Amino acid sequence: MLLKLSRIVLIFIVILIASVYLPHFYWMAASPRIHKPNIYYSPVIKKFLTFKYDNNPNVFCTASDGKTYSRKGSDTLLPFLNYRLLAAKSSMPDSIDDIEIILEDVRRNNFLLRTRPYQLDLPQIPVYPLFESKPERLQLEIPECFFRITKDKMDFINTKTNKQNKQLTEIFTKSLVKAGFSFPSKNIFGNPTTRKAFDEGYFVIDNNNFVYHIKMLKGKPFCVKTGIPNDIRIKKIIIKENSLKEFYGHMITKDDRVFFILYDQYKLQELPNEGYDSSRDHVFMVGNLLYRTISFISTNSVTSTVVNRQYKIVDTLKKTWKDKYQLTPGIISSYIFPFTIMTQDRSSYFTNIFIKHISFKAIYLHIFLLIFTIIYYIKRKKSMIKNWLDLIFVLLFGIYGFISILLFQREDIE
Amino acid sequence: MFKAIGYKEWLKIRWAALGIIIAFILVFINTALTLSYIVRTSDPNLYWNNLIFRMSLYYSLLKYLPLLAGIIISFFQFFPEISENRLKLALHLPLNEKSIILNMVAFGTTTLLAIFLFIILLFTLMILYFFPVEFLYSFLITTAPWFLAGLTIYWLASSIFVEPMWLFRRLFLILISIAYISLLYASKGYNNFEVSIHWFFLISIFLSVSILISTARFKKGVI
Repeated sequence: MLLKLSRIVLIFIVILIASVYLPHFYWMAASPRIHKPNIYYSPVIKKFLTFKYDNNPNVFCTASDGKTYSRKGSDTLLPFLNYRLLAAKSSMPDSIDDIEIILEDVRRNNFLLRTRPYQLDLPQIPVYPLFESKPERLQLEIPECFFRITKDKMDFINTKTNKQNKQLTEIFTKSLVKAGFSFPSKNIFGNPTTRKAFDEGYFVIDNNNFVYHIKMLKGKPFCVKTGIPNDIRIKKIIIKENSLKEFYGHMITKDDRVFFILYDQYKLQELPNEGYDSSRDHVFMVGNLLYRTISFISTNSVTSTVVNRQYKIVDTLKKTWKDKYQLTPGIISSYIFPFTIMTQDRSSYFTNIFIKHISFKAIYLHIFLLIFTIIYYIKRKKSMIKNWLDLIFVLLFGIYGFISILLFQREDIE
Repeated sequence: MFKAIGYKEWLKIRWAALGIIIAFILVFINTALTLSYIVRTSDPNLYWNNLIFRMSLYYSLLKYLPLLAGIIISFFQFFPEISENRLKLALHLPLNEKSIILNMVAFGTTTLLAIFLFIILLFTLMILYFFPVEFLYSFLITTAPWFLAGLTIYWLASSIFVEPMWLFRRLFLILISIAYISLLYASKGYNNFEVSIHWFFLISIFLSVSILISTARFKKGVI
């Protein structure tokens, strides 16, 4: 009995391993190159431009009305994105939509933010450096004390001694309690890097799901309860200090909504989220003096929406293309592999067992292998009744099951 | 009888086990000295920042050591048995052959576990000296698949040694082992297996019985 059981267990493990590696090697051999289009909104001609690799050297991009442009011609269509190039060539327009173009304004208003889906699910040692936001020597420095938020305090630990810094712990805990913070924290979001102009500290979700803003100003705590309602289920807040000082960063919720957290009293500005799936899509935001574009990019489509500076929707564009599973190698694979197991997925940084690409088209191969197995067993004079489980394995798991029953045969254990 | 089997197994692996413990202790000393050197001579806050946000691992020397330990223990325990077919003698003792072989595996497993727990304890004390407890949690989660790989390779290597059919079966078991063990090493940064280590633990436990099939085939004498 123990032997029988261990054979079945081993068969399952071979199925598992085969379903990881067979598709893996198949795709190593058969993956085609896929040219994804890049989409930008031209504030000059008020149309989307699609940049896609093409063999034709005269066509660098295509506008949404079908007109094509060369590389040189497209530069002037995106004056904000290419302002350095255009300014160097003195071909920057003087005004767009009657708004005078001042290079400093263009620079300050430009931003590019890209959020990959796995960035929403990252491992973290929950110990953080709290920067001095107004450093005397103007340069941000990694502090000597790092903090963590425990059951009843905001605990500062000296990195040299690994002992608590009593003074900082006390004043910050007091300040948090005064602001109404309920310990412990559920999540802490910040942008702890010295490669930025200034620091906005951390946004911390407390035990009652309220969001607090914590930073250090001249060694003193700054703890404020933001007005963000506690019924918004926050997945991630991505802080990105920007000299424009219009928003602290953006926030993605568990129901796939996207918000900017504004400097203006922490108000939330919702962004269009049509077609967004946070476990699948990259979020790509391009901002400039006049418009903001938010794009959601999956493996086979992109949805771009342009809003003006008052966040009114100006235009939307959706483009689709075939990903590798829709091209010929993918169609062939769907007839071979009933499913694929992956240990990595684009939705997460963590290793896990992800069952993907379930295909019922592989049933033809299953039936073929089943018949093959039956013939083989008849030839080897094996009993079908005794080996019924093998046949089930082949029928259910197709090529994976077939390989594993060949390797662990029933006679071995009798 | 079981006591005697235990004693025999101990005679086979004691020097190997001692060598493994020494190797682990050397790695431990190296890591502890590195950490104390950094704290004394440079800015530990920059180092902390690297560990937390760039996900560099200060204990990466540990990575393949459990794997090596598993292979070595398995080699010293089972290689003498299969050379000149001595295992046949053991299987003819007046005991159930399954319980004999399972006892042998259990002895090796316990030895490995004891070594691993000892080294984890040493690292725990060191980490708590240099870092807050959050780092310890991350260490345990990050190294769990490595230690699990050590145990798994021990079980798999034992069944590979006992497996009588050289070319096809043994080669194939080796392939499966490499494939499965590389899943356990497919990690980047820290805490990678936080959500899935229990699944891999379960699969590895199941793999531990694979030696029974090899033994059954050995006894049958399929060559």
